[in-house]
Amino acid sequence: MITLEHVSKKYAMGAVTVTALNDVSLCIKEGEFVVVLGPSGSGKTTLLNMVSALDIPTSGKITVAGKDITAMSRMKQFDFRRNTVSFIFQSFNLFPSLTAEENVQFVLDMYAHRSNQPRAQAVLESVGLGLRYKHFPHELSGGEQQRVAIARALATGNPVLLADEPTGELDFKTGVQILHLLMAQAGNGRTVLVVTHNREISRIADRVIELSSGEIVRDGAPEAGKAPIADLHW
Amino acid sequence: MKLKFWLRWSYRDAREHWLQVLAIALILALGTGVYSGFGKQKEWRIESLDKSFAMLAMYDLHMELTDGSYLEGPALEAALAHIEGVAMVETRLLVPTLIDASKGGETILYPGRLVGLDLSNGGPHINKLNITEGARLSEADINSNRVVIDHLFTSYRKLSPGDTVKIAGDFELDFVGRGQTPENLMIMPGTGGFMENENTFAIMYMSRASVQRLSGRAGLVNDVVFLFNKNTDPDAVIAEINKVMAANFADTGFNLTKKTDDKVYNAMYTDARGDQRFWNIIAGLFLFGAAMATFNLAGRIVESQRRQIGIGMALGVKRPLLALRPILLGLQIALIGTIFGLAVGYIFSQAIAGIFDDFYPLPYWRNPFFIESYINASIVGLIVPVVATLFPVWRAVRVQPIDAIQTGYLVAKGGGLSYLMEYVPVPGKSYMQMPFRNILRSPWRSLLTMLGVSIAIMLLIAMSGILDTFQRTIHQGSDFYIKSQPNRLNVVLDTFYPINSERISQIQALEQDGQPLFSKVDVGLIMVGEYVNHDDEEMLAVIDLFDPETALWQPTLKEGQLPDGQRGIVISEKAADDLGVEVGDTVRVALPIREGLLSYRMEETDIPVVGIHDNPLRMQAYMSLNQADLMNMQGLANTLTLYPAKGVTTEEMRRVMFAQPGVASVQLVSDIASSFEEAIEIFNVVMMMIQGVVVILAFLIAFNSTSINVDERVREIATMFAFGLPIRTVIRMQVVENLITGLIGTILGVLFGYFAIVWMVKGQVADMIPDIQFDIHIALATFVTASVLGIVVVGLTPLLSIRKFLRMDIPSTLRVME
Repeated sequence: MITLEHVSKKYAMGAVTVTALNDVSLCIKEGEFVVVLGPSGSGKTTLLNMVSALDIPTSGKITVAGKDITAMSRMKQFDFRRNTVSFIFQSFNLFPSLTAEENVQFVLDMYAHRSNQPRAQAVLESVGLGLRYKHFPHELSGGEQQRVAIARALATGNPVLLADEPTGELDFKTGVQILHLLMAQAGNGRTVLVVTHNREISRIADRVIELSSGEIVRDGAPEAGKAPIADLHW
Repeated sequence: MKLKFWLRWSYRDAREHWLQVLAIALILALGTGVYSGFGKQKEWRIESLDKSFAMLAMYDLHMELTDGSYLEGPALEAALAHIEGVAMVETRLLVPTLIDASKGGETILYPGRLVGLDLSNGGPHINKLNITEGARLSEADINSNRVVIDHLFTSYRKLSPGDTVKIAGDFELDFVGRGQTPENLMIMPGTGGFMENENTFAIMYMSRASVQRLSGRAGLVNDVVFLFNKNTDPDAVIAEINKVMAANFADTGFNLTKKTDDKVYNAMYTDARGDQRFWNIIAGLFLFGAAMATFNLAGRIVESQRRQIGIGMALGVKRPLLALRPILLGLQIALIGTIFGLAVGYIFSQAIAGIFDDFYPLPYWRNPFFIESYINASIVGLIVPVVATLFPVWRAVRVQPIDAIQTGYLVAKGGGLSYLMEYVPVPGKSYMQMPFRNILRSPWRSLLTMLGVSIAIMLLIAMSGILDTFQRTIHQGSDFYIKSQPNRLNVVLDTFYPINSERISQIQALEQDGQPLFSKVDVGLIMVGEYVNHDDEEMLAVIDLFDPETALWQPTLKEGQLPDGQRGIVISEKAADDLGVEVGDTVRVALPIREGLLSYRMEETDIPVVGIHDNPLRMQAYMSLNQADLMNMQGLANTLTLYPAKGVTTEEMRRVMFAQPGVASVQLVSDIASSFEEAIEIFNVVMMMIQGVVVILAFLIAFNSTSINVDERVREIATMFAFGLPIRTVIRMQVVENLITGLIGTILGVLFGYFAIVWMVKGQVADMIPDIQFDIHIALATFVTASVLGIVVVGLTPLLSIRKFLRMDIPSTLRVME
């Protein structure tokens, strides 16, 4: 589903060149729940940006769902993001002037040509917000806002779900609820890529890719085997 | 921390927002520049007038014999020679005539006046002739055909010395120069013919002997100018002159005018003072608009730094220090703006001075850039951006630091009035509803943007609306004369003739190729009188006496009726308002009463107001010809209205009339329109210049308001991009939002602009130009321009963000919005 071949990303910071990713190669299968782990500055967010075509690598090739996104025009990149990947952000990035339902409806409207679209309310119900769909973001708790963000991402029906520190602003209990939702998506055949610095979260992944200084230092199943969510604590 | 550190930081802020900072500075520059350019106009105009009138030895007292009266020059000079306090006396002969300076297929055939000057001993010594181009007249020109023609007429008609010029009687003159005497710096309506102005009335200066010869009035004069010794009491001189005239020329009427009562002299000073009031208003409005826009825009730049202010609060930075960085940013905007303002002000003041120099070619024009008004404007220009930056700082420090710092879900800040959308069904997809929601979500921010747009539109509507009002008045005035019988000619005779006189009969019977020249000839009287109000103040009244039963052209009335043979007068709405009368009331009018063969005296008479006509000129009034007995003029006429016979052109009529003896003036009725234009031309020209500046200003304000608005929404836009919403869709949403903002801003601006026009026209212009009625009018073109600027330009401003969107670093933008 996602393939990176010798991907590097370098940034020119004045006279200094910073290497965010250095010759990274990996392959993620369809339906995998992958956690990208690493400390701040390790390159994990850069990796997510590359996979989502929000940024382009300095060198190397990235293929997602059979599409070479490194060779895409800007317009094609927009199409790609619209049709292949969906985002969940750490700070949710909901549209504050839209209600929960409308935030979801917003992306549904983008795919109006697709048949069998789920209704916004149905998606919200699937994330446990069936009774809160008329509320504006500021009327929802952080966890509820993140669930709206997940509902928004799910509503797209895109095969790849990308989450950047999805529990970063949430308390433990709410974070666990969110992880449940994300895992369920992998169970439904979506590829889920979660970027986090929280090592505890990596315990529930099918696969953990650990980055340090822009390089993969570990790639495989969790060291102690895949743990159930109930075992998590932080 | 050292000031240098804060300076460097605020400089970085300015650099980060360089385009907006530059645009705000330009707005400020236009405001301060226009204000300082207009600021001290009165001072330099008055100084220039003082010196110019002194250089030209403007008379201290002016004697005009009553229309049609003449006296032997030497006898009059001898009688007036020894009046105490008088340093110098010069007699002149003023004769109405026509000028024919047609050239290159263009007919230049207009009424005019020959002014015969005393050129002896290097004269004239009083009311000297200021030559603006060509040769001056000298003693050698006595009794020659050399003529200097009015600067304004020749400029307008593009006549240069050497061009062929003929006057009534088919005399060809030697046109040697352009110039003006001080009492003729402008042509006052009603003083020389019918509705003449600088463009349609030619004053021609020759030697007195030449005019006497050409007019067949050898030795006669009708005009005297006096120059006093220092500290002479004018009233004492007037009393003495009255005695001398009564003793020597008892049958001859005359009118004495002190320099300070001279209409032109007064008008020049009154205009300088009155105009200043108008320009102050315009300049003040401009500065106000620019200051408001600066306040709005500079404040919003700082508003976007609220999180940083919150961080400062969290670090325990004292509040005054928190304000320092925004203040320094405001100061940078202020400094750039006021420095640019210096250049704008200089350019503007020079442009205005150039316009005035064209209108009034005085021998002395000093038009410096007045630093004082610039400093006044600069103080405003320096204070406003600083205060503007303090307001958002004050707003920021009112909240808890954590609220200001928060980038998470707390930053959602609430939905504002978004819930209202529940009640307003908007068709279309949810992302096309978002513009409406965005506007409602942040009412304060939306209001600021709308106010920014409305200020721009207010300035545009106010400035253009004034111009439209002027233009409408011009059209209303010309329509009054030409909407019916537009091919008629107005002829003023050189004196009063019995209606059944041979002279008038001959004109009526004129033929061309054996066919009658005219289909009809209406006879009438034009008399110059004065309205007298309750406070005994006088206002010019040009009374047109015509036969309402037979005249083909008749004035259109707003109310009442035409005079029906009974005593009655039809006056203008402006005159009625100023005199406080309406139909059915009486008005006091000072009328010239014929006493001798060619002499008159003024007498006040109460006349019932029977109608109000539709002419915006206050002085215009109409009476029935059968009321001529009020002036002892029964059976006499001094005007003819000529209607062409079939197949006869107005040009042919003019040519024929030009050669007729006894004709003082032949005027195409269509030329009357230029009288209105002339009356407000200087305002027109300056306002056109201002209109150009205001469009630039409005664009800058509109662009900046919407540009900041887009900046404020950048994080949401990045989110949309992350979800793959195409740039064109995001732009479309921004365009829709801006269109709504622009529409509301434009509606507000039109309303504010309208109120500004009402205040200016009814409150200020009415005082400054009391002779004309101005009805407020905003032209469709102005609304279209305002709509294009306020709605279309504002609406399309997001297109300028395409490049920014294309280059957007989406991940960075998504993380933090500063």
